[in-house]
Amino acid sequence: MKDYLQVANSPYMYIGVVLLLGIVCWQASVFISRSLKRAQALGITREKINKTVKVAALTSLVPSLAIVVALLTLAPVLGLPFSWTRLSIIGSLSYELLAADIGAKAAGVTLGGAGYGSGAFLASVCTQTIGSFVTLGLTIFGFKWYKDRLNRSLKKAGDKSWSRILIAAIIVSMYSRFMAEPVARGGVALVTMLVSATSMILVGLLIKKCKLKWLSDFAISLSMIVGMAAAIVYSF
Amino acid sequence: MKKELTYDENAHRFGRISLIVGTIATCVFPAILIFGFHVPVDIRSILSGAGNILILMIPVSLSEFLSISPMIGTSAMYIMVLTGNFTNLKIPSSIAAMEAVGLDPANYTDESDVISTIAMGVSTIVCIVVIALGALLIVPLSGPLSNPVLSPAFENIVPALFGALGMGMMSKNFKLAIAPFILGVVLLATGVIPGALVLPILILVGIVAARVMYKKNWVK
Repeated sequence: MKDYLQVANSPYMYIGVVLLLGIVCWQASVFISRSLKRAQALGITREKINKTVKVAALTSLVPSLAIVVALLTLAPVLGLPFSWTRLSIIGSLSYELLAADIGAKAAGVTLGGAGYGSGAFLASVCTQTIGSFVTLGLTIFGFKWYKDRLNRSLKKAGDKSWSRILIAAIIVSMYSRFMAEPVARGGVALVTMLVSATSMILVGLLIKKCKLKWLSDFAISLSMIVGMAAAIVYSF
Repeated sequence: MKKELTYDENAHRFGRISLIVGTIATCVFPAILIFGFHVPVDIRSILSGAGNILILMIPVSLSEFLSISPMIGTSAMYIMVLTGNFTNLKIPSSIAAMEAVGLDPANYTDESDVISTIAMGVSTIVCIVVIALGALLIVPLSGPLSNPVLSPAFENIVPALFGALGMGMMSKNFKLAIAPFILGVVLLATGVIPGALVLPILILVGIVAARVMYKKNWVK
């Protein structure tokens, strides 16, 4: 075992895991409980809340598995506790690998390569941590101001339909980014997306024709699994 | 008399406090390494690494922040920023939840704010639990999950997600999708700009195209 990995996997590093995951769960549960109170005040039915919880949980399940796979990639290089925490908060595999590598290069070595010791590991950890301050800082200091300005200008324009079109345009542009990539790349990515989309249409038809309303909660996860299965078959 | 804060102001207040606490807490790992293990601090390499990552992250994070935050409610935004995985997990699951209860994700109301916050919070907790199980079971899982037969499935999770989610949203807003989608294909196929900047560029172009179509009465 490389010496930096003994440090990276030491029980003391799990203090960070417990602390950060605790903060994330605390924040999410406070916001959820405030929203539940507000839901009551707004007269939102219990059924709608339950459906929201069910759909959000099911839709998150399969993409979360992909993060577990990312953890398997990151943990051998950066140790389990730090990788686990970074992938559970703020980061993604691509950002963490990139930032860790930048830190390693700044220390004059390559990530996980010969000479990558505790000092280089510290440089990686600091780089990954400092890089994520940008989004956090922008949100802490700029989000309220930006949101207020945006709402005020939309209200001033007095145009409800433009504000709806604006948000729809942002959402479809975001979707375009991720739907255009498989089209540009072709091959297995395109097959996966097309099979997943077709499966969604078929599940939709099944729900309508056979009156299988319960299936609607599982429609996205089911279609994703069919699409991913198609990726395996295509690559075989 | 002290002015009573509105729901939204309270959300900003708690959101900011929780993000400040979270930001400070992220420093616990460098602190453990420096003070717990006495790892020697090479200031030059740390500053050089920090400088390089900031040069990269400032434009990417700023453009992402400006383009994504208008479509997210206040509380949901604070949850999302602390937990990451915006586009591959949190936003899709929030939009799916809103659509499932019959709300239009583009028409932001008090009700959609509540629903998207609950969805974002639940998505966060599910993700944390799944990763925690993965971390605890890392030894038995590393065999089957890193099996090369399964790797195409996990490498293509994002196309699978947007295939399932995207058809409805794109067909409902077909005209709005034309410009960003075509530009996205061209930019990603040619690779003329870094991948991280494609999203903000598409959002900017999507907004401009939507404004032109709206002024010409092509979209209502």
